[in-house]
Amino acid sequence: MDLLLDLKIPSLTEPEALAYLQAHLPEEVDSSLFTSISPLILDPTSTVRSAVLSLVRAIPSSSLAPHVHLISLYIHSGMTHLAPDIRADSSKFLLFVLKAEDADIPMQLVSRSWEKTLHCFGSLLGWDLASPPPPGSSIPAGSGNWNKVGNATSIDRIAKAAGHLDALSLFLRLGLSENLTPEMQAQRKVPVYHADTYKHLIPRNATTPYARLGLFVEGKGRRWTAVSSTEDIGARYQLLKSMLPGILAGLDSGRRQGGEIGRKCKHLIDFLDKVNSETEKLQ
Amino acid sequence: MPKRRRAALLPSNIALLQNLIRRDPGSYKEEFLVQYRHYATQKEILATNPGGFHDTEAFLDQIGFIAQVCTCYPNETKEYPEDLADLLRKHHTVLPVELREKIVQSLVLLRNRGSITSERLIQIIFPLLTTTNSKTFRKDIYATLVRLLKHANRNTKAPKLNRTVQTLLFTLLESSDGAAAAPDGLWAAKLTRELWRRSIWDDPRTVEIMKQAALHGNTKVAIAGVSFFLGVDREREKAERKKRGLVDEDNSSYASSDDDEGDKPQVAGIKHRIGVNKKTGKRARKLEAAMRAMKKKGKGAALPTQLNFSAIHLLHDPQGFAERLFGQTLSRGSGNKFTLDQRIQVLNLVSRLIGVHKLSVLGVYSYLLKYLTPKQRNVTQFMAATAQASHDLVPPDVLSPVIRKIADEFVSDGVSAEVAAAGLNTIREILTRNPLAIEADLLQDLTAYKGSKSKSVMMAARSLIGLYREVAPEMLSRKDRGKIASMEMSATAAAGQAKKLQYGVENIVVGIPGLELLEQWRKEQGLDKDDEEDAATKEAEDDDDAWNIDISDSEASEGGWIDVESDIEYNVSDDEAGIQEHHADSEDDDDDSDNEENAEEKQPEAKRVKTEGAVQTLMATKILTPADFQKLEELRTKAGLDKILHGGKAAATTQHEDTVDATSLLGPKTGKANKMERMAAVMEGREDRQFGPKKSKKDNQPHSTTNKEKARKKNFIMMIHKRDVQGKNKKSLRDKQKVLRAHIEKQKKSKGKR
Repeated sequence: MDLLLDLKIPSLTEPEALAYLQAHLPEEVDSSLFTSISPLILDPTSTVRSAVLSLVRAIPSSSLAPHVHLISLYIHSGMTHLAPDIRADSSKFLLFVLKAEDADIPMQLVSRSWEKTLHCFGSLLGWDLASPPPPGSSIPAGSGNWNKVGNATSIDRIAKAAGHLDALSLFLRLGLSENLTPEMQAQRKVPVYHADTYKHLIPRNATTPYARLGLFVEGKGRRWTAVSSTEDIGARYQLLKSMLPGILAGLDSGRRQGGEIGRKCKHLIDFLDKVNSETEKLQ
Repeated sequence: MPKRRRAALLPSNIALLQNLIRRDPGSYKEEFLVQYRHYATQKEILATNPGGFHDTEAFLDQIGFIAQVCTCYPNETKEYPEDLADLLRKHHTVLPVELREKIVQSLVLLRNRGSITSERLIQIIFPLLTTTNSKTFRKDIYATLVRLLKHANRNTKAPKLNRTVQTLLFTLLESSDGAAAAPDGLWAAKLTRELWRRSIWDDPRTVEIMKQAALHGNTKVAIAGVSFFLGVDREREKAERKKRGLVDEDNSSYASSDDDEGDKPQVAGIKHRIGVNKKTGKRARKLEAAMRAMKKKGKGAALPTQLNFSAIHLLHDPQGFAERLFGQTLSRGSGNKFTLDQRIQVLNLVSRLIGVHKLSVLGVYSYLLKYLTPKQRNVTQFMAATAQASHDLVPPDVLSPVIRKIADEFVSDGVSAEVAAAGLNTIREILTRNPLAIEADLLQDLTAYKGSKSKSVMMAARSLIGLYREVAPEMLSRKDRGKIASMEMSATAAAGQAKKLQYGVENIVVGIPGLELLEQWRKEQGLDKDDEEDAATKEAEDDDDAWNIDISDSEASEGGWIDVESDIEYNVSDDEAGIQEHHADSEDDDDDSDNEENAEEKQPEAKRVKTEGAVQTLMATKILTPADFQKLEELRTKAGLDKILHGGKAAATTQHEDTVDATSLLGPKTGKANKMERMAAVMEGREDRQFGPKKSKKDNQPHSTTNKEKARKKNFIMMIHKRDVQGKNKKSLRDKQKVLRAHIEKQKKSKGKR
């Protein structure tokens, strides 16, 4: 790609260079662009990050799709980053991926790195997802941790927290509700030998249907790797269940704060309750 | 309050977080887990593209951080070491250099903290030594391995770890036994050699590794193994001496150290000269002085030394090793894989093995025959090897062709004096080890060279005569036998037990050598009676005195013991006793064969029995005290010295273990040195000298602060009112300019000098 050859990597950290790239973006974008711009998600200067965001937005989603895994790795890295503003910006990128036009893009993220993303949200919002609080306690352990989101002014903090919450709620909705395309619904109707047959079929839109088998994942320690077997809603819910008390506690304390955050938290709590009751009904 | 505020502190960089975690691991667990997750993500990103990682710096910090604090969270970081190992194993070829180093460092740190065992660490990094293609990385790993093993073996040996590493090295050598995989085996050899040199490893298993290396199919590895056996013990000694020198404050100047080394050859030289030249009182006194000086030095050097066996002595199955080494590298079927120099090295080792362990590898001698011609390049090396390979258990009929060949090729009228001297010296060296390998007429032919005009040839021939006067005077011509040897011969002939050299008869020492001297001395002093009479009463007091030797007392006695000329007769008789003791076995053999003669002449036999009986009684009845041993040693030295002065009864008991120096075979150098030799001598003298300005050397020595330094570091406020400082301010513009200009000039000059 001659555009990249012109612009060496160091110069790529200039926002102007990124803007130039955005202006001269070709029809077909190949992988070298992604390998060089995705590290900039973790760039210390905020102008560069915003330039990268706008550049990524300009890229057609068809060429984005094969590189979601790479980008999501960097987003995860950003969500656990030590610098607060990089952490804050990471949800913007996440939101962008989740809102992508091509439905396959967010589903890749949801199905392949469900657990890891949730953990990242935990550290982003300062919730303790690993050890749920004892059921009797009214005030959750993570209540004070809202402060951790950033050490800037309160308005700024609220805006950031709101961004994170938006991302979280979208992520959860995508992962937990069946938004079947008409095509899939039609497919499900066709020769149904059993009501649950579709559960055992290979999902058509899955890019890596056998990822959960870990055939090409090296090493033993797969605890926090991005790939986990979360291809269907049931598995995802099972994973969420262990973290649910922590999440709910966090949301609850957010709801008490009132305002915009409180509203968002309340919506999310409602949604989670609904999902909870539906799944229990199924079982 | 301040405590709470610290708790609320949010770490903004990783060093701070590390500090906080150290203080309070429990509270910062959350933060640590976030960082750990971050590390996991970074690792995955790295895995997608190991070569072009975006932010090595941050990842380095991350790895170091987790390694530092992972002892605080052992459960969460259980997999961390394996992660790192995985990373290193898979991507070490493409990882950035710093990252690679950092991972190794972190692994070492984890070992120090006890997260992984030393064995595991070695299992992780050892394979990299051979698989990596980066020189620096290999060097790093090598250094790490050596350091690790040194550390592990510092106080007590770590047998388990050593065995693990040795097994690894074994398998490395075994697996790489093909011409293509040379460097692998070479690294094993190098590591082993280094560890041996530092006395970290000194067990037979180590030697087995090097044995394996010496028999390796690859030439380089084989030569590395061979040179290990030839040179490493000297290296180790040198290293140890160096270390000791560093420990007890190296305040000895160069002059004294030169003395130290020059001493032994001095004594040896004097002894040699006394053996060869006419005996005079002056020479005897010289030897005396030299001996005294050496003894003094020896006392100073009697520091506690570790018991170190040389590598060759620790070999298991030396016979098999020597045979295989000879068969693989030297014999005809092996092809010409080795250059001549390498073959000489191998030959040197084989001959050392044969000499030290008294092996019988008969192929070597016929192999050597081929090379023993004056025209052969490096022939002295071959000659030295021949001498080393001979010992008293080599069948004389195998060795005699070799001697015959040397005599034919080297010692004849047509060749130059140097060659003849070298030939004679070689023959002497062989014959000291195996006196039976020559026939009397050939020996007499060779000794005829004592009248040679060339000094070196003459001396070589005389030394041959000297040798045979001692071992088998009957083989020499009448003229050459000398007074003492002839007297001895006639004495034994009169006694009817002419001793004859025999193949396979060894001198076996029974009892304490020289005990009869002590016995005799005690008798002369009349101590025995004393002992018997009031043993009960006196013993306690006497013993106390005898067990604790007063040092000053021994010093005093040391000065006085050499009283050479006064008691010659006494010593001659001593000599005979010594001989009888030494050849007790051979005499026994003789006794069996000619019984009739014994019947006729019973007196000497009876005498011998008497002395032996005396020794037996002394051994049976008395516990020897340190004082006794000291006296015994004194008497023995006296007797021994007399032997040297009277034609040298230097028993060649351990001679078969000595190395033969190829240059010594050429005999003493006569005439002027040529240019090259002179230059070499000059260079040798320059070796340890340091050139360059003396000032910088002086500055570099440790010293207290100088006045200049003190002035420079003095508090500014204290100086500000001083004239030195104020004066500068008050200077006129012109003066300031002058100073500045001078400064610039000076700077320019100093720059120009560089």
